[in-house]
Amino acid sequence: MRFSRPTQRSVLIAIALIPAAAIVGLLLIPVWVSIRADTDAGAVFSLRAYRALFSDPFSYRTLFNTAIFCSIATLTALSFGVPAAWIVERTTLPRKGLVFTFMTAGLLIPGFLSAMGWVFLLHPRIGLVNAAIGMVVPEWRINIASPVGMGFVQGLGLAPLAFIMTAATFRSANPELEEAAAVHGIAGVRAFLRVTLPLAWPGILAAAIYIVTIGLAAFEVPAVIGLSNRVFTFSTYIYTQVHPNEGAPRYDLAAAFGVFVMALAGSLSWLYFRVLRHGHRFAVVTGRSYRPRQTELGRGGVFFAWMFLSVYLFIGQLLPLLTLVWSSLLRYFQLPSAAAFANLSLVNYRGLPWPHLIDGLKNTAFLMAAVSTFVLALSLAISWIVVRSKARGRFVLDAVAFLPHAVPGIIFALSAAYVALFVLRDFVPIYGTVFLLLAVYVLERTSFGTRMLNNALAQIHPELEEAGQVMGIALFRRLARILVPLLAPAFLNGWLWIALLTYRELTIASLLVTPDNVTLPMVIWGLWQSGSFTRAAAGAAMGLVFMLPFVAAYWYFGRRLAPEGLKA
Amino acid sequence: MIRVAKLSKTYRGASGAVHALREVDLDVARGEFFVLLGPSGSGKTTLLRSVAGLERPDGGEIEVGGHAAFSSERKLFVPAEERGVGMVFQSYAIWPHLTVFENVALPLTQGKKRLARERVRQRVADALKLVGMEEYAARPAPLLSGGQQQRVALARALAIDPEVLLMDEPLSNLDARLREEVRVKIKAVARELRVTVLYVTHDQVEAMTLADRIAVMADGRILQAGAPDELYRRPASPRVAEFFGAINWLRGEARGGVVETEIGALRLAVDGAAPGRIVVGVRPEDVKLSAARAEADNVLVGEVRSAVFTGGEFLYDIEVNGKLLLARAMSDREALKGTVFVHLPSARMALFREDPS
Repeated sequence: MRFSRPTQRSVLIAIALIPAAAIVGLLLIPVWVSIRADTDAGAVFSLRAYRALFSDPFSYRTLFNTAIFCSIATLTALSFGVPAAWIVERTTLPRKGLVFTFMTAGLLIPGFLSAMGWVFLLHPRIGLVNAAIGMVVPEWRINIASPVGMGFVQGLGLAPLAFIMTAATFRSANPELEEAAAVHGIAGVRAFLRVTLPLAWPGILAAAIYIVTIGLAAFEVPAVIGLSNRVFTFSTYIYTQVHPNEGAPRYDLAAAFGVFVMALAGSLSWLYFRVLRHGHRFAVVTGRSYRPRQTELGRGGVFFAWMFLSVYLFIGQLLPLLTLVWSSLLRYFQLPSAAAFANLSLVNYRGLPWPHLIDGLKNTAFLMAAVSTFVLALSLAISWIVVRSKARGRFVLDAVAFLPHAVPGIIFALSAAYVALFVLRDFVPIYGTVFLLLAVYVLERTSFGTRMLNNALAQIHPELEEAGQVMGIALFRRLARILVPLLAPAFLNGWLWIALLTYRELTIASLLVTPDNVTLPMVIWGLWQSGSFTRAAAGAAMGLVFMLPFVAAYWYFGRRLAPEGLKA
Repeated sequence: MIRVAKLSKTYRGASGAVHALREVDLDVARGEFFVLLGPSGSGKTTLLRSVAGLERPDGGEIEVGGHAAFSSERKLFVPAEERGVGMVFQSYAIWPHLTVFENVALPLTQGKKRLARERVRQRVADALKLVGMEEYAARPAPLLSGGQQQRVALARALAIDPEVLLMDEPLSNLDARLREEVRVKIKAVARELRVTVLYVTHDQVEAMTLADRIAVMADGRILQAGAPDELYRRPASPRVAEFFGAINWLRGEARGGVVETEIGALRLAVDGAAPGRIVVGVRPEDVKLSAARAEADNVLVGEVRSAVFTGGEFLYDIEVNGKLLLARAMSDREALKGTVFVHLPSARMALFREDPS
């Protein structure tokens, strides 16, 4: 039987409502868990968890660490990202297309791998750089295992995001405003400080808020560097409450902290949109495509610009990964020297738990394919309703789909773990299966999928679809025959991007992975946590190798990145 | 073939409510070429899209091809894909990922009535032939010019063999010369297939040349509907009259068969017009100029203030008793100069009662 349009439309709406309901549910669960306690007399509801949380100095230390970590990360990301964006968009630097290539590549480097590299470089005892410093000033050490150190590493990883976000701002700057300044005698540094920078300010501020939100939720760097040294930030705090070294898991404390941070992250997102809107009112971004004024760089300028960019590319991207590969070839960690070179071996690679690694790789491969596909299918349903239909409440649907973006991933993982363990346990035994990971990854990435498809759909003239509709083609056939082919480039781009983000995902996995549904990043992190650092480095190097074909495919198919709505 | 009754539609936005349609009634007969004419925001496109099923009106009724398509009373809304009409869009909406052939074929293979492959091929070939695009069947859509896209859009709409063809400003994206060519083609095809056409435009020349009947719309209402010459010669209101080009307005007081206007007394074609304030409208081509006094009623003396040569004709500004009248005359003779006689034939005057307000 053939469906008439209202029926097909309702089917589509139902498809879109499933993830939306799940997202709302997962976000409400921490609230519920944080106020509920089991006693002999049954369940009671109280604010006990919050009282416990806020009377514990450890919570305040964690908050303080998170604040320092976040600020340093944002500062670092902006100090590399914003000048790089200015250089690329507003100067005559030759061959600057390369910078874009390297910066987007930087977005794909898994944060926990870089973090491992940095431990090898700056560990108080074994760190390469610290050893070098120790030869000069014996008592001097740089401690990477501190909020400042971790913030710096996180910031290097977020610099590409700062770059891409502010590059858009510099690109859309109206050159007439600067020309007006020049005509009226304001030029050089003064024009930059009085005109260029204030005009770019909303864009930079928005990028800063966005990066703070990501820093707040960051798990990988604090997990790799901080956990073993007992330096906690928000996400690792939640992790340890659920996976404590001793005693029972404290879901109530984790949930209470989660609710607190959710409120914080929510306000930040609200602020982000406010700043963006303010920026639009500023009329800097007009949608008209300008050819922005480009500052002429002399020979010295070109030299300094490339110096600056190379320093970032080297320490931000290459150095930690090179260190990682170097370490993987050593029995125990040592400085590069003739003796060390003579000792290079593949013993760490031979010692890898290969069956386990292969299991992880299989699960990760399955997740990459399945998550990308499901996210795009659900996002198409949601975006179509938001952009195309006139359904009431579509803006609420859009906002709900955006929520996973604003809320730290560890909170999703916490809720999902709780639901799978205590609610679904008996009738849907999903805990410990790869399908639990699939479901949570999909919900988390739907925010990215819908941002991307909202933009892509808005570019497609509605009459293309209406033409099919008037001439008798029903909704699902229109989607399949008209919209999907037209959206193919966006789909391919998005599919690869989501697959790559899934490949490197560690945050959600940390709370949901058991020996039965292990993923590749979890195998590597597990090696790291067990203390066999050089073997973990070998696993990490393998991780980089497995990733290469996808990165190559990504470069081949979709050079154009969708930076809006990324969550690194 | 298309019947619309008491149709209303209100858009509610942040800046308040917009009444796009206010109780519109419309009747289009089988085989008729019907044009909705009006400025942007007059509701003509909303009306067309409501007939197509792309908009859901708030109230009223729509019948297409003898079948109820919308009724607020019966809570009936037949979705667009069930109405079986053909439509040509302003943007043409040619699917860019398909070839010309595939564009025309898609509604036949994926639509309401799905045909066998051989029938599809035949139908597409016929439709493309009808618009003179049969040689372009294999061409990818992005390689078509605007005029070619326009013709493919027409072929696609006709291929499903609709009883009703809807066209939304189909010529507005073409340049002037091409527009005339495609206009002739549309008219010829519509006549040949005897399809009922509902056509939206804001261009009165387009409307006049294409339409069997025109409905002039403004502010969500139909001001007047009728044959082109009827609307031109006997507009129901000054607003409709102004829509069809320049017109001279003379205010005056009617007394019996005569109206005392600001330029003098004019005899009317009808005797015994009710006394009161009226407005007389005279088209520039109905202002007859001559160097010698004509033997007729309503001949006044005027001065030529300016004469502009526009090619086929002269446009004159004539001052008559202190008021400037616009006149249009063939340019086959020398331009008139100085004092002229101005003849206003009473049969060509449009009379309107001046609003008491």
